[in-house]
Amino acid sequence: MWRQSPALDGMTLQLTPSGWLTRNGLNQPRTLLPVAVLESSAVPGGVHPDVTSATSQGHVLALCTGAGLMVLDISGAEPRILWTRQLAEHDGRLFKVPSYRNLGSQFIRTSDRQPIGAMDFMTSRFLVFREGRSLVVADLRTGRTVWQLFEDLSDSVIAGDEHHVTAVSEENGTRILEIETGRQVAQHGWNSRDLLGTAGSDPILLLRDQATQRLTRIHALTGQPVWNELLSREVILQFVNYRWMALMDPDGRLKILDVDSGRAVVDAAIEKEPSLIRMHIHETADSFVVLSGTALQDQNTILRPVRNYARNVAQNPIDSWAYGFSKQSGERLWARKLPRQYVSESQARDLPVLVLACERFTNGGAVSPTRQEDSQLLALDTRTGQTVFETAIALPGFNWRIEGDSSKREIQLDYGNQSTTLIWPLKSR
Amino acid sequence: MITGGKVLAAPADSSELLCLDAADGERLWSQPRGNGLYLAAVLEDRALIVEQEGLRAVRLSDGQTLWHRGMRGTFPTGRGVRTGSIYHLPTGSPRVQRLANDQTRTSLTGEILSISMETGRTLSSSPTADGLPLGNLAVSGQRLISQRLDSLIALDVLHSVESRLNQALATQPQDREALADRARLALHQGRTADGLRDLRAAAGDQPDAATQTLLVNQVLEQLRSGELAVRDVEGMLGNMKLSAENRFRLNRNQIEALQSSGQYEESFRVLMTLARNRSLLTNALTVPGQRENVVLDATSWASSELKSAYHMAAANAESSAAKVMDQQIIAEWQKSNVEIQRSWLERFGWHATANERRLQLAGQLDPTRDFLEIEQLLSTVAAAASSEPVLAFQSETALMRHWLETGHQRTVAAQLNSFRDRWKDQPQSDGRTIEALIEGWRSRLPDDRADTEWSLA
Repeated sequence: MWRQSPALDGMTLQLTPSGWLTRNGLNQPRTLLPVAVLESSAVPGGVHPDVTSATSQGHVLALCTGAGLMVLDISGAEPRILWTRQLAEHDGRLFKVPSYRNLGSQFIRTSDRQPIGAMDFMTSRFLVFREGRSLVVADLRTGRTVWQLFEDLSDSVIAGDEHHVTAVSEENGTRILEIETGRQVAQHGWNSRDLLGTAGSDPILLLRDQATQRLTRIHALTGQPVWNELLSREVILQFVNYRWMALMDPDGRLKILDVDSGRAVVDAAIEKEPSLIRMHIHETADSFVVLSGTALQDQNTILRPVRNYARNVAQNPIDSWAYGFSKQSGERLWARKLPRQYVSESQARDLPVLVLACERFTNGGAVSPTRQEDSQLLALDTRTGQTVFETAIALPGFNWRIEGDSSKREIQLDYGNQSTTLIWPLKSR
Repeated sequence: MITGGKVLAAPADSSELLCLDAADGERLWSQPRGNGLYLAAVLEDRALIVEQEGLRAVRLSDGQTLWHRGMRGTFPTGRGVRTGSIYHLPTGSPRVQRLANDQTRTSLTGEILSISMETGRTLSSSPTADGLPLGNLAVSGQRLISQRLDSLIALDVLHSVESRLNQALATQPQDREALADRARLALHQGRTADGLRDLRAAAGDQPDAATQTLLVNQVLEQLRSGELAVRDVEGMLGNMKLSAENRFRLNRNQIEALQSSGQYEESFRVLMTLARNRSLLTNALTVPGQRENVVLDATSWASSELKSAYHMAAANAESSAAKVMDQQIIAEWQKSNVEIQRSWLERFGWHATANERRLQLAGQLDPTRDFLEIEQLLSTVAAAASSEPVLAFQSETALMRHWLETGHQRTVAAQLNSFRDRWKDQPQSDGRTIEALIEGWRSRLPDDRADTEWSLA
């Protein structure tokens, strides 16, 4: 079913001195809200760049500005503010509190831990958010409060769909509430320690015993399994874009499940990696790029991530194999070894390039101090896995940025004070 | 607390209420404390426990619950005090105010609740003078002291207030304000008959808001305790003109009483009367939901209750009852009035014909001015593909046309493939294929090859 405007499909949001920008799948910027509009609309609670977030449904975009919400109609040439609401009064800095396993939205608090709230999810009719500790369901177009649950839900994972709100906490287990009335329609014993993600209002659980672990999607109302996947204890898992569950077995198997049906869209042999501890998955329109990280250490060199334009985006260390898999057929398209690197979770979804970047330091141990070596950047063609650009520069860290122009068939890659232009079709180096 | 050779304890590190023998410390009984906050008071054979959402009295001899009293949408804001057999508890009620721009603001209104420890009955509740919640209460001589975060408050001595009111009423027996104040005092002290007599005299035919609310609270309390039957409510209130909010509270109580006694058809009838009075639903801002701590918009509450009563009545009664209810619901829809149609969907959005009506309403709205509302209506119907595939298909094609007509060609372009995947087997009424339909739309799109140049295909 249609969910959102193509203007927002694959978009990232960036707050700059000139206003709020969206970046499309090619990373091209478009001004969403100029500073003048932000100022004139008296953003409730002010704008706190470190804790902003966005969600959208159809041509409605909701921005959490920190201590406030702003809901916009983006169907016209200029965005129109539908309603705003302050989540809490505060004075001081705001922080996002990481949730267990980074599930759900991150709750915002002040530096002295006073609760501010969180923007949780949006349906075609409602915006669901936390105001202070309480949970609010508001009409999407008008902001009218439909219901409000006065209970401490600041430590809960909140998710849902058109019909239900799912609240999972450590103390109260899993509760399912009717989205139109807040009436509790089901309660289950699973708590947030069992939770790996949600598919709409259905919890996705990872249940462990001594020898195995079982991944299962549970029907929110009945509590019955929708699908099950039995795994060995060694398999590592990653929830990808709220749509896929990737399972990587150190024994040399990769599965990527569609969480709606439990069907494996990828089920393929990969290299055995006994020291496997993490993976990173980058989804493009047609493929999955899968990178792996091991527990193996290089005592001589220390790596640190470098930032791209996105703020507060996780950077994952990888050091082993990389693969491309077709979404359509599940077939392995390519495989290659990679050096130790960092990969940012914010990449341009519709560009055929994946960028890895890090700073390298020599580990002097206890005797001599750590010394900066260089900063390294590597760009891969996501369709072939081949290196299309690679450089090492003697700069103490740098920011990088990538942007595509499909009409010119060019991809511009800026790093530090330098830049390079990749011409389509990409050539390997 | 120590009483009658027993020690009652609610340790902070335990989830139980313990009763120990004061002589040797032997455990006499223990009870799970649930969400009990604190042990409030002991009276003769019973102890009172204040919970997050209610009060509970337990028997000292064996720990059995004597009565439990939920506090709908109200929370303790501190420790109370006992005077005789009455416990006075400071409470706060979240109140959602609808502001002029259709936004809402939530605040906490302070009250003192007086409860009979013998029966659990609410004798009275009075708002605090400044509307703010009180903290812990204590009695000092004849004064009531309350501790707030930022201040201490001493409330007037009860018997001196009462003698002042008696003097005022001796010279002016019809002084409605003094009558209402004396009624309030009597009710807090458990002298219900005296309080009601003064209250009715204070109310007259057009009582002020506070007196009216106090009287309605008493009526609701008597309904709850079974001292008053639903049919006798009007008799007790006479010709009194009630505010929309109080009328709504009475109707709501009546509906709950009917439903709890299984009279679903009758409750559906009362709900329909309530739902027809749109000003009642608009003015009555919020009502507490089924859970004590949910504040629910009145229209959403009415819609949910109508749905529940409809289904219960249809399940319990002959099929003719469902037909009658359907006719009543459908009769509320007016083909040419968009505002009434919107209101219908707010109240009956759960009805079997609701999606058909969403499509009708979408067709009557202005595509530009009401762009988002049309998108919402059609998206809602399109999401029902598994239960109503024909309507969902009609709705999704209407959504495509809506976007094309309002200049959202890129949205259509992005949807073509998934539309084809979903509806490739759907027959069309005019015999055209889905491919032909899609090609017709595609011919109205700009050349977008450049946008897809990077794709793997």
